[in-house]
Amino acid sequence: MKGRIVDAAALRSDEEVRCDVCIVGSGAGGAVLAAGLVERGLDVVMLEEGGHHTKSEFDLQEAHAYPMLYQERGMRATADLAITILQGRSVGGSTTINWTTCFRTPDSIFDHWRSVHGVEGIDASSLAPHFDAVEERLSIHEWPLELANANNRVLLDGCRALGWDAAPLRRNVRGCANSGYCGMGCPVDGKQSMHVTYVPDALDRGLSLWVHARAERIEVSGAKVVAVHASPLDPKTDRPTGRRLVVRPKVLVSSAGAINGPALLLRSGLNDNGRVGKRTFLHPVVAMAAFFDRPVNAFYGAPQSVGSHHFADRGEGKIGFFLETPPVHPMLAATAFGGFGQAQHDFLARLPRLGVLIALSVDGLLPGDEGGTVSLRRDGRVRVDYPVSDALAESFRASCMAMARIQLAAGSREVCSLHPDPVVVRSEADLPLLEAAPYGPLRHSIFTAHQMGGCAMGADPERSVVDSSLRHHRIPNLFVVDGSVFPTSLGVNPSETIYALAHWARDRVAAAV
Amino acid sequence: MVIRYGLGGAVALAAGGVGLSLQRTRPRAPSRPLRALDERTFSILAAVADRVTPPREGFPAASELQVAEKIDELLTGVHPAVLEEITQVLHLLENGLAGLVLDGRPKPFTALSPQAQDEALQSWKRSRLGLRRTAYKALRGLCAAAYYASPEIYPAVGYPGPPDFGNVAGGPR
Repeated sequence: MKGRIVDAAALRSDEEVRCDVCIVGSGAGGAVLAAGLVERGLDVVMLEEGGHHTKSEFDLQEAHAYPMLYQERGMRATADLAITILQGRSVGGSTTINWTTCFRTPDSIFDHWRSVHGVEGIDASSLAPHFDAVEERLSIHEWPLELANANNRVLLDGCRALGWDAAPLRRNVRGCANSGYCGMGCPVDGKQSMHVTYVPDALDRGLSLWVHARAERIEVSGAKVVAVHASPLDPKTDRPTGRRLVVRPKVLVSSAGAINGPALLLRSGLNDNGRVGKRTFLHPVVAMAAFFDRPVNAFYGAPQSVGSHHFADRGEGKIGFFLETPPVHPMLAATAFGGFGQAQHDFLARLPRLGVLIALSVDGLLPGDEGGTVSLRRDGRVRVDYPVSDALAESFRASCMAMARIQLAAGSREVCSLHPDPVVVRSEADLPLLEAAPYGPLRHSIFTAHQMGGCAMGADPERSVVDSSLRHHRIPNLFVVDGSVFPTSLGVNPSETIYALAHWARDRVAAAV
Repeated sequence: MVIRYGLGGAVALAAGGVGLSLQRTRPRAPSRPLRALDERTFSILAAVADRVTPPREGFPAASELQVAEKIDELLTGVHPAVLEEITQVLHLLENGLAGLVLDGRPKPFTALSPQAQDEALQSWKRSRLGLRRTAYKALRGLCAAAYYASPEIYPAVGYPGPPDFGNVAGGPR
């Protein structure tokens, strides 16, 4: 290994580093990009605010995994706490804890980006060789249906019974043990996360990876980035150690994700047109729980093997949604359940017979759907606001109705909503109860695992942050390479789009050095 | 795992009644020295945890699983402002004067009967005030997450626990 991993927390004095390219973030965008840049002989420094955690630390206990591997110790949420934000924070970013589902970007999304947002040159054919390359490296392939767990069978069988589309999913795994713990860090390195693929590839060729190093501020002189100032963090307290780390790159890339990335630009005063942190999209998730007479054991087995895009396009004026499944471990299930006391015990006590479906709303495509906002608090912390429009509340309602029907069709005789006082549906005749329930913030559990937008790409420098080569409109040696550049959400799990876009961006970033 | 920012409005409500509480908080002794919370706040949190996950056959008491101590430990790694917000929300719940004004409940939360504590939590859960639902979600989420992430409750929920891949010295804890 020519490269090195440096723990910034151990710095005893201030440090200044020069390099060709500095990449902030080691997730799906940063890692793929870094591997390509070192391959081209460039000197690359990567800053990661989380730690370098590997399978030797993954004991698969929720009490350890969420504080260790997620943003804000697993407690990130919108400002009103209405939406729980599941987002990774360690070497590999969210790829270390995601549930492995991979899709190529839908053609309809590329078309929408071109026609509505003026994105040029990014489409299915220009990205095809890059999709091919990342699919090869990350072993992205269809997961055999015969390995699907019973929770995924509910989705498949329920959809088939109703005549709705459902299909096996593709996953980035090699030697998957089918254990069901993707969200707590893969215990066997079967998941082809960045920390076992592109990050080691980059380290082999000379990457300098600084961990526990939070990029605080980008220093710009004229129209040029001259430095990025980082704070080493004490991993115990997550507070700055007081040392300073200054990186002086020829080119700076933000790959810090759709929440921390916009926050970095905002802290740096780089928001000339007011578009940074705007149009933040979350694929907001609602879920339905269902009890079955047979064991489901949804805590075991690949969490996502089957998906349904039957309702992804619901026609004009409506927000579409797609259906998948989560792993059902005790803490995650308890978090999703909104009540407390004996009702909560009653719910959890039947965990082995509990199946859960999730619906992800496709935000950002309707005219006027601006999604959420990333901003800064006075004390410098990031803040996420996400109002729920009438159209989104309608999508939540339709999602819950569809999921309940699938669960009933798959044999459940007790379907429960995740309202604080759950709506119980025992047959189709009860569906009007679910339809009449309230939908919106703090009315039921809402999650997000897909954070997108906030540094949108586009043709118009007044309405977007980077151009169609992912370069900042005003600062030519600043790029953004992650899911924050999406002008809308995707309607599919975003990781593979980010991998391919970062792979495509390698030549563009390299050419800017 | 649920709590976080954004409780500023609730905090303002709490501040109005600080020092005017009609009775003192019933103290609870932590099982080890506190690392993030002060003793009064810990006592309120422990009382909330008792009701979020009450004991029953197979489900140990929250105090037995040291739920409030686990949350105290988790809070050593959050931004000081988050710790402050959680502290103030707990004080708001405890505050007898605010309870009297808003709910006709003159006693601190920790001095209420278990049934009355449940009613107080229900009223926050179903409140028309978004801020109270936020505060309920924060406190319930913290307590429920710490409780149900404890391996001691795995038998009661029928969860055999994670498989052992021999990754961690001594196997899964």
